[in-house]
Amino acid sequence: MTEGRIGRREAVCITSVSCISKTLFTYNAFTGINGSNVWQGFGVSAVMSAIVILFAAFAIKRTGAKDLEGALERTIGSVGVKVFNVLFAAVQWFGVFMLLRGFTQIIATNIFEYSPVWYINVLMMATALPIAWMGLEACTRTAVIILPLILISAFILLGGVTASLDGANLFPLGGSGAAAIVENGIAKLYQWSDMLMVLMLIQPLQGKKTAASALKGSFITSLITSGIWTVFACMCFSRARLSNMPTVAYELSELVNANGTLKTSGLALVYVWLAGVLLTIAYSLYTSARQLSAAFSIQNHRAILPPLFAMVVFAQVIWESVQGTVTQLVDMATTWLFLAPTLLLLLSAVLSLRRKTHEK
Amino acid sequence: MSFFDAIKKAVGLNDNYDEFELLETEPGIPLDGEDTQESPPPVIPETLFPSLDGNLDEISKDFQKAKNKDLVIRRFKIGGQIRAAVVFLTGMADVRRINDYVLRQSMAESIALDGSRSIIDQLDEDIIAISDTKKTDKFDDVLFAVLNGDTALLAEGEAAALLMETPGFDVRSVNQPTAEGIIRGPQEAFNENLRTNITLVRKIVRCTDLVSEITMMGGKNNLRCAILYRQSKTNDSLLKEIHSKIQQIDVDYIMGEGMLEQLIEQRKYSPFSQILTTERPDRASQLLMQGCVLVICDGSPFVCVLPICLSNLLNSPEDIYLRPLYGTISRFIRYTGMLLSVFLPAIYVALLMYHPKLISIPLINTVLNARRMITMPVYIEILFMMLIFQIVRESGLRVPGAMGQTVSIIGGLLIGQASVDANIVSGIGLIVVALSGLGSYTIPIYPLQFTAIFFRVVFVLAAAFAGMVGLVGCTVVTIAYMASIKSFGVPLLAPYAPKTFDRSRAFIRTPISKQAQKADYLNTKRGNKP
Repeated sequence: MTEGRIGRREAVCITSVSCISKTLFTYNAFTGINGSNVWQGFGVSAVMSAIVILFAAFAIKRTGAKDLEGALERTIGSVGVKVFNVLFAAVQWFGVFMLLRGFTQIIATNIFEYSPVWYINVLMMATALPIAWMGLEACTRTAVIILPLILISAFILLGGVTASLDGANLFPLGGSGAAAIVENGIAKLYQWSDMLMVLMLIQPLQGKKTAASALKGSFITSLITSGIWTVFACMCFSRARLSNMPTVAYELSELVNANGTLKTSGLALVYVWLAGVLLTIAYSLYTSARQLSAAFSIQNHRAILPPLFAMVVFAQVIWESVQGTVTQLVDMATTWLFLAPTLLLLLSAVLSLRRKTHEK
Repeated sequence: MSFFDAIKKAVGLNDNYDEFELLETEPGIPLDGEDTQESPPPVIPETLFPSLDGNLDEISKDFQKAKNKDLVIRRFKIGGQIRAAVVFLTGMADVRRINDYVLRQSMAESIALDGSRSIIDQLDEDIIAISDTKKTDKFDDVLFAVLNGDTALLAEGEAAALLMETPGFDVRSVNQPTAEGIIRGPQEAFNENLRTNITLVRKIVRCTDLVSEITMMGGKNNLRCAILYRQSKTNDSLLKEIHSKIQQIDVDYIMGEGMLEQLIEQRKYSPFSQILTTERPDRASQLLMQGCVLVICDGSPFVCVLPICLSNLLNSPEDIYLRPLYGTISRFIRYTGMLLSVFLPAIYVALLMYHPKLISIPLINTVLNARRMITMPVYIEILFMMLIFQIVRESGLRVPGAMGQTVSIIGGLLIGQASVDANIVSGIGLIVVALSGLGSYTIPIYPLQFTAIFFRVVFVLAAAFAGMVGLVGCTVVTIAYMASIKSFGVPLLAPYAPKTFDRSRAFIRTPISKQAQKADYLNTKRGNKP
């Protein structure tokens, strides 16, 4: 891949925009599993992703590789790397799919009421495709400009809903048991998948120190923003209502309007988020294409973008009939993807131990 | 003669059709069809001949002396002994200077010639009183020098020539800037003379490390250009890239900096300029001091500055002459004007067509009342008014002198009022278009005004197609596109995206003492940090 250099700030911005958008606007982001509260699932997913990322970083350090792909290659071989790349591409593609579905719900329900969903999908994908086409630099530098707007609009919105906050909605703490909370957390792990991209994109370019700093910055920004958002959303709506609410962000903006704090400005904020969503779709599409091109040794990732674009639109159209099966499959894939670096660390530790024993 | 022939003759049916029609012939083939092959380019000898007549014959042949009356070949004898000649183009060279300081002195019989040095060396060192001279043995050099207004002196038995700088063509004096006028600050502008323009920069940048390389650009018209940079500061890779781009130019002719800009920039179809063109020596010098490179074309009153970023295009040269607070306010107004210019019509279209819920009830009532009698869809109305605005602007520019302003004002007032009265457009639509048009004039760089016009139309169409969704989508794509553009390796959105240490030149006009004196995104020689 002949991509330009990007620095720490760009990495932080694109990763934060991506994680925040996926948390806020994906279709199932606020859907509890078995009655568990969403914010608990969010917390679990954050903790799990942090552990996985740390494991991956340690694995890179342990193997002495340049990046995550290098570390994988040294431990599980090139075939394993290809499998990992395909799996990761699938998760990124799924991120595009879910985000598109979530935001299309907002647009189809509230802005273009009489337009078919596929039309809105094509419209949004046709906007995201050129950005993905332009590559990494375009995506990341656009994120530098868009992230402040998203943060400002998010916090304006949160300020506008303070009158509707009800702490009782955060309880009961246990929900339907620890297993359900963990399951919910695992289902939301893909929202953090872009963190791993930092280890693949930034580390080879800028070194370990910058990559670590970028990871820290993007994780903290995403955690704070998405966490506050999730907690506020949970406090504003009851658990039962939240589980059946596909467009939480829009409902929150309506709440702002209903409170009379910002009049119709709540709706206007949707358009700021749209910028973030389009950018996230583009970036995820790009990373998905990048991983696939790496897996199949294709020089130009652009060749893969149109098929991915078509697959997203097609999947949106047939989603209703295959929803259950696909969700289960992807949840499993996500789980395995995040378990892979853990296994990798263990493997590298064992190999390192064996080498040391052999040397003695 | 038959009856029919008589009629044909009477009405001229047998007359030859002899009207000249160039398009009906093959390219370059004369009408008589005798010469069917394109003549090969003349072969110019590499070095001069020792024979004076041989050299003069070759020059005469190259310049088509038989037909070309501009070329002057004045033969004479140096010190009454050695045959010689001066060659120059009348009008391009200063005849008085040639007479007084070359011919009169060389022809004086009192001069003593010694055999230890060549004639050309003796003339150069002892006799000719011209300050800038150069000895050459290359035929090309002689031809280019003569074409540039210099004079070539050739002597019998010498396979070399003495080139003397004797330009004598008329030059416009240094005037006030017309396209980048400011109230506070220098009031000088570049003119069409290469030497004058270099001097205007040197007057400000009095540094020993300021280098001005003069080189020929590609193109058969042999236009000269000067590349100015600070040797101790400018990035070497940047210089190499610029030299390489200029050397690679392969076109029939270049008329000036406008063509050069398009030939050397990376994205030729981009609506964004990747090179700044300025007519202000102070602005060019400021950027030169920071580490940029100037390319000055002979015959052009604008200078190319490269590389640049968007803030260079948006900031006015006046900003640095104002106090920081006023400089910042001025920038804020300018940026607001630019945003209004680009987005206002599109937002108006999107809100009215798709999202009236976002407008307060009193305001939407006012707008709907104003549009009650208008039959055109709102986006057609806006596009129509934008077209009218541009026609009035364009006609104002083309009409000579003070008439232009009159045409603009009268045209704008009359057409605007008449359109509203005739219910072709609404008053509010007119205000929106007028505001966006005025906003575009706050953009200090002329080519960027066209960029604003282009995106205004694109955004209106996007808004008409999909409301705010279309507008936001189009905006994000535009930002991403801007983020992907580089001006000779410098990202267009620097110093914001990517972020660099020096953001003093962007939105906030910080005090001069707090500003870094060089732009770190140019990666100058003395490190990256200011």
